[in-house]
Amino acid sequence: MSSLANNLRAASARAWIRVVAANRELSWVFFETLLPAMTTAGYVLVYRALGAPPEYESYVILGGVMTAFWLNVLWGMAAQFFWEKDMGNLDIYMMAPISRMSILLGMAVGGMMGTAMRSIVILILGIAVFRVHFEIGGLAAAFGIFLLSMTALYGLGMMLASLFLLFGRGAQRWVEVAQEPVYLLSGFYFPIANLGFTVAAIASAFPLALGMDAIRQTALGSKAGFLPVGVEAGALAALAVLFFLLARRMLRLMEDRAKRDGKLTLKWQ
Amino acid sequence: MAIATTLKKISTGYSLAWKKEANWTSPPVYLAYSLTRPLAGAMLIWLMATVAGRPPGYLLPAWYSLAAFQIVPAVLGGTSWAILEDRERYQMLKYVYLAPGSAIPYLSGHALARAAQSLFGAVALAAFGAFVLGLRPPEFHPLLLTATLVLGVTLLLFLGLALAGASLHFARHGHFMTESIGGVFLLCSAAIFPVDILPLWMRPVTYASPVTWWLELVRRSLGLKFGSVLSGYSTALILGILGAFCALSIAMGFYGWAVGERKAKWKGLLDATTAY
Repeated sequence: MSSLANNLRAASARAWIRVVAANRELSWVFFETLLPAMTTAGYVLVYRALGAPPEYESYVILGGVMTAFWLNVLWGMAAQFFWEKDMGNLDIYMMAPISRMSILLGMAVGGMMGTAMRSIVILILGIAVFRVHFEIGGLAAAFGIFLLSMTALYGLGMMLASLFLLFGRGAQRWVEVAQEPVYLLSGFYFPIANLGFTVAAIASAFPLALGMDAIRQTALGSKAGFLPVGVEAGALAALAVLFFLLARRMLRLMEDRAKRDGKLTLKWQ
Repeated sequence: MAIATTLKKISTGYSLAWKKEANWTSPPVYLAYSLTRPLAGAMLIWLMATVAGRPPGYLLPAWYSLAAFQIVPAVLGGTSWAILEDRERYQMLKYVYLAPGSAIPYLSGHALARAAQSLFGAVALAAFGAFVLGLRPPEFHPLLLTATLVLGVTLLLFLGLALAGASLHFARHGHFMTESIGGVFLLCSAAIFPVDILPLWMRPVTYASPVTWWLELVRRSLGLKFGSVLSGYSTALILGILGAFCALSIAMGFYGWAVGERKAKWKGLLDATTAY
């Protein structure tokens, strides 16, 4: 069997575990899809209390949708290697004749079911309850940008995952910390142009910042974009390639270092 | 004797929880870790208000409500987090059951450690708001604030105990439940917006949430007013309402935990681990 076929089978096997697990624990439908929509609703009501124009409420809904993907990258992919280490599965992955990236790809694809459902619930909430309007003409472009953003984002997730081969609880704590600051710097609930050019330019290294800004411009008709949509799409494509190359390299480096330091099977550290 | 043993168990749980929380790094890094998340969350609100032109009457009460709200998910989820970590990761919950007496004091110690950590975050946020952003509360009533904090932490601790009873039945990733429930309280307790904004049909839900009244008392202890709906109630009445909620949550906590624990024992879940 070719190496590609082998890796695809590994990715599909790892994704399947996620699907089976989701079916075993149906409580997640309630706790991880319906309840988080309430937090998003809370932020919509903040803009309402502030008397902001309705388009700002749409920004929050879009931010809520993208939050689900960021959390999936953080917890379902990056931090997963730490849990696999604790459970004793990581040793098995290391022995298998496959790339670590195929395992991570499987985690991402398998986790997509829950993530997509959470996003859809928030989207329905936005359209049905908060009357969010989309520019129909811009939806195709927005979908393309969404796919580019996701490719770059999951590349970043693979890079982060490599850290968990080496580090223990500390890395997991930083994953916790990576939630709100990323919501803040990526403009999850407001246009990043409001951060000023320098901060917005720095924040653009994070794919969701540019992705959401471009989606706002195409699907929500926002006039407060940071850069033209074409430039943002080009930058996202560049980030996607860069993150995948870096992820590949970092996974090799961190695995090698973790083996030398004897940290691959270290539990409860 | 029984009280001394209980206090010792609480203290052991507290000390162990602190070690698990903090001994992965040096104190300065831990300080940065503890402050980053609440500060970023509050700055998000600050930026949203700035983008919307900072209308008067919003930012000051919202900032201090959000500072106080840090305590809600931390204490509410403290016991559940302890259950999931001790059972799944460290696989030592079974040893808690080998020790004499109930597991409740040990779990309460964990929740109190998280309460202390979140209280530190809340104070830091309040200080940042007052001294860096110039958001200074007009008044300060320390007695009312202390009474409110004691009532609030007790209430949340016992609600958390009921949640912990449920957590015994969830898999490893059940800690998302406590995070999600924090979000529910954010909306249903009108933590970052005034109750006035909510549609009439949703207001009864807000009144049924103890956190709504708790946050209102925190704001009153700082001389802050958030909208007009709750300002018609006297402080004494709100204290009474919060006291009643506190008594109810103590009963719910013991009952919820007892039911959850009994069923978990029958199902053999006290040492269960999930490998997916």
